[in-house]
Amino acid sequence: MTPGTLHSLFERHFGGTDGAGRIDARHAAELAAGMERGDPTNGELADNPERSTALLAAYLDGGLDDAAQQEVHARLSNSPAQVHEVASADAFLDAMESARVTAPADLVTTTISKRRTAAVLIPPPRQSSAIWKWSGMVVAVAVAVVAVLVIVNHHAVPTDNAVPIATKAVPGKVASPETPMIAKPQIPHGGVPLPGATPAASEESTPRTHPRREQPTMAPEGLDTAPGPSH
Amino acid sequence: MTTADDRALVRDVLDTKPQAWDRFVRRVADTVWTACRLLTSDEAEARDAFGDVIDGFHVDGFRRLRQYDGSSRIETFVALSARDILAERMLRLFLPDSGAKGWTAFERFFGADIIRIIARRLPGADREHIRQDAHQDICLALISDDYRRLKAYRGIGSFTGFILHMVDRLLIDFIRRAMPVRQPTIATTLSTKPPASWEEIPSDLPSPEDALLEQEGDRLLAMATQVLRQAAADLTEAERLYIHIALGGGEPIPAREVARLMRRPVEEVYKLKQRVMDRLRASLDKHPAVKTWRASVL
Repeated sequence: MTPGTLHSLFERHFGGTDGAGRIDARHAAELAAGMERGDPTNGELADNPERSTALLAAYLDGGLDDAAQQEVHARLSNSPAQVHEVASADAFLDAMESARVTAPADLVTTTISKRRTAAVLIPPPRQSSAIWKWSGMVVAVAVAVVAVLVIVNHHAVPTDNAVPIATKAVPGKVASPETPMIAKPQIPHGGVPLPGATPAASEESTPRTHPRREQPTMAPEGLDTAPGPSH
Repeated sequence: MTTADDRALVRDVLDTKPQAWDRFVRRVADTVWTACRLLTSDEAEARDAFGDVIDGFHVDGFRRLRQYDGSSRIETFVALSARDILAERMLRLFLPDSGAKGWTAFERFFGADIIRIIARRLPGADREHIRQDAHQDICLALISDDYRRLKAYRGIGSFTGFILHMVDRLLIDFIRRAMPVRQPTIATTLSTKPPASWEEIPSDLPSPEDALLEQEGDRLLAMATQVLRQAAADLTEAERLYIHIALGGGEPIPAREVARLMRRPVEEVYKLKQRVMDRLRASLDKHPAVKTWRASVL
């Protein structure tokens, strides 16, 4: 082995002049595979797919300033998949340019009118579940407050000075241990409970929230990875 | 219309001004229709796809449209967005019970890209049969196990990039199987003649000399990869990107093509090539095997 051998290999791949002829496909393939690090399919040009598309369009149209273009180069240099994406988008735009056709007028009109119809037919947006939840809670709290006021009024301390504050115990009558220390509030209206007298947090007084819809998930089966060279 | 006019139109759409959406649809209709005709199989499907793409711009409060900031032509932005929407649409065709629809749509969508990638790695009129074999090999791998490789996409990164990178890796696998490693020599490197055709025919019974040569070729290639990786760590992003682009082909990629992909002037690409070669030469000189060789001859 001499340094000249490797140097000439690099020269052919990276320093070759246009039209210098074919290079060894196997060498290029091995070097390309050897250059990959990490997961080469990861990575976008930007933080979300929509922004990536806008950035790719700007890059291909030459609409980026130097700093933004360097940022794109940095992302591309770490993601062979993104280099393929750029090359593919570039080829696609070329094909678009040469195959440009006019959209059928009836299709455009129908598409626009469909959207108009949909806008008319769509009912006004319903109150969100959050609004339902909060309004329900307010009602429940209000009902609970009314219930408490009714109870308190029923056991209110008498304001008449002639009435003793505490009644004397009747001699000979001893409260049994089962007697509750706090008197139960008496239910007015012939034993029918007050509507909405349940605690505010109970299920009956708060509107139910819709259970979260399960998102279907697809278990990743793993990326196909080409085996490395045997050496 | 100028880009500023288009930006204003998109702003009107986002502000839900009267008639803005209708004007927008009319403005981009030809671009969307052309994309649909290119990426679907027939006119009936293209008409369905047209509606889906237009809806795709409307959904989620114009989520896609919000990204348009006027730094590209509206046609470019809409064409690439339409391509994304149609890719998502195509993915849905791979659901169970959709029969061969998914694969037909896939071929229509990626067919040109697959052919381009194969032609780039295996150039030359005399390699037509190898390219056909490679194409068949790649398609079989993609179909196998109920499209396992396609379904492995986890939604991270671009779907198009994911597929095309996988195609390239499958192609590299094919090249490894079909083409033995030959020792890179100065004599062949300086030759501009196409290599002999026997080079591309896999030999079932290699001679001992061939086996030795292949072994030596493997060793040199491993060393070249090592040197390249070391050098790449010190390169700028643009230089590293140039290496990725250059390694995507089976012949030197013309500077104007590199310049087009990098969106830089051709003169700059020539300078870039020179810098990359200087760095590789320096990295090669530092390699232990080269130092050992130098010590032995001095």
